[in-house]
Amino acid sequence: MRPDAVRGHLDGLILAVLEAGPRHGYAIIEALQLRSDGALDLPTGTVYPALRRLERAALLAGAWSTVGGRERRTYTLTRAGKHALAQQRTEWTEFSAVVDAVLRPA
Amino acid sequence: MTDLLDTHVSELARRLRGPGRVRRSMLTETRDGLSDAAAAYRDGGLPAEEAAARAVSDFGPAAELAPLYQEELTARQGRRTALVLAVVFPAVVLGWDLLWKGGIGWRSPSVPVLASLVHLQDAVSWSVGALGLAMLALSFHRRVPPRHLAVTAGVVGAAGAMLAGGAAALMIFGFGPGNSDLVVTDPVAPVAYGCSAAAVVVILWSVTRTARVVARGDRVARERA
Repeated sequence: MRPDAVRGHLDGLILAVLEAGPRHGYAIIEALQLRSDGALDLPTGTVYPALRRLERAALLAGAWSTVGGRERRTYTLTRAGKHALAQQRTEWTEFSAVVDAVLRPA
Repeated sequence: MTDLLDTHVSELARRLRGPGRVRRSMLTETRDGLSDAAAAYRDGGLPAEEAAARAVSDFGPAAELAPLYQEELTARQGRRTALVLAVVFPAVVLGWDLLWKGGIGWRSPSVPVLASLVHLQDAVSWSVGALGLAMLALSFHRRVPPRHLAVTAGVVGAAGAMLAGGAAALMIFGFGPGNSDLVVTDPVAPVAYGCSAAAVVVILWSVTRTARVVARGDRVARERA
C-alpha cells in the first residue's frame, strides 16, 4: 500500500490499535503491521510525530514509564480519543460505501 | 550498530528547533524506537549491523521526516507563546490596577492624553490576552495548521508588546510628571516597573523564539522539496 494513501488515515489507525490498551511507539508500529498483514508500508518515522500530534490534541495521553526494564513513552487512548475513533469509523464506513458504490462495475 | 542509530537520530536532531524538553523527549523516543526495531531484526536472525541498517531504512530519511517532527515542535512553540500572551498581558494590567487602588500613582494632576494612553493600554492588553486564550484553545485542534497559529501568536505578541509597551513608555517619560519622585519615594514603584519590564522581555523573547522555530520549519520544508 502506498505511504501517501495511508498518511491521511494514520491518526485513525493509531487510535484503533490503542483501543486494546496502552502501547509504546514501536509496539504501535508492530501492531499496525500485524493488523494489516504487513500491507501498511509507511516509513516508521512518520508514526512518532503522529503520536505527538494526537497527544497535543488530547486524543492520547503520553507518559514515560518503565517497560521491560527500559524507559519508554507509553500512549493511552483518552475519552476524547475514543470518541474521535468512533467518529472516524463512522466517516470511513460512509466514505468507503460511497466509493464502493461508484467503483463497482455497472 | 549503535553508531548507525545514533548517527541517524543526530541527523534528525540537527534539523530540528523548538521547545527543549519536547524536542529531547521526541528524539529519545525515536532513538528507543530504532533500538527496538533493530533488536527485533536481530531476534529474527540478522547480524547486528544489518539489523541496524534495516531499522534505519524502515524509519525513513531524516530530511524527509524532519518537517513532520518540526511541525509538532512549531505547534508546541505556538501553544507556549499563546499561553504567555493569555497570562502575561492581563497579569500586568491587573498588577497595575492593584497598585493604583493601593494608592500608588503620580502626584500631579492627570492630563487627558494620559487617560487615553491608559485606556489604550488596557484595551490592547485585554484584547491580546483574549486572543492568546483563543489561540491556546485552537492549539488543541489537529486541523489548525501549526505554522499559521505560531505566526499569528508571534505577530499578535509583537504588536501587543509594541502598543502596550509604547503606551507605557509615553506615560512614564512623556506625560508622567513627578515620575522620578514616585520611584524615589515609593519603594514598590521600582519593583512594579521592573516587573513590567520583565513582562515585556518575556513576551519579546517568546515572540523571537517563535519566529526562529517557524523559520526552521520553513527551512526543513524547503530542504525536503
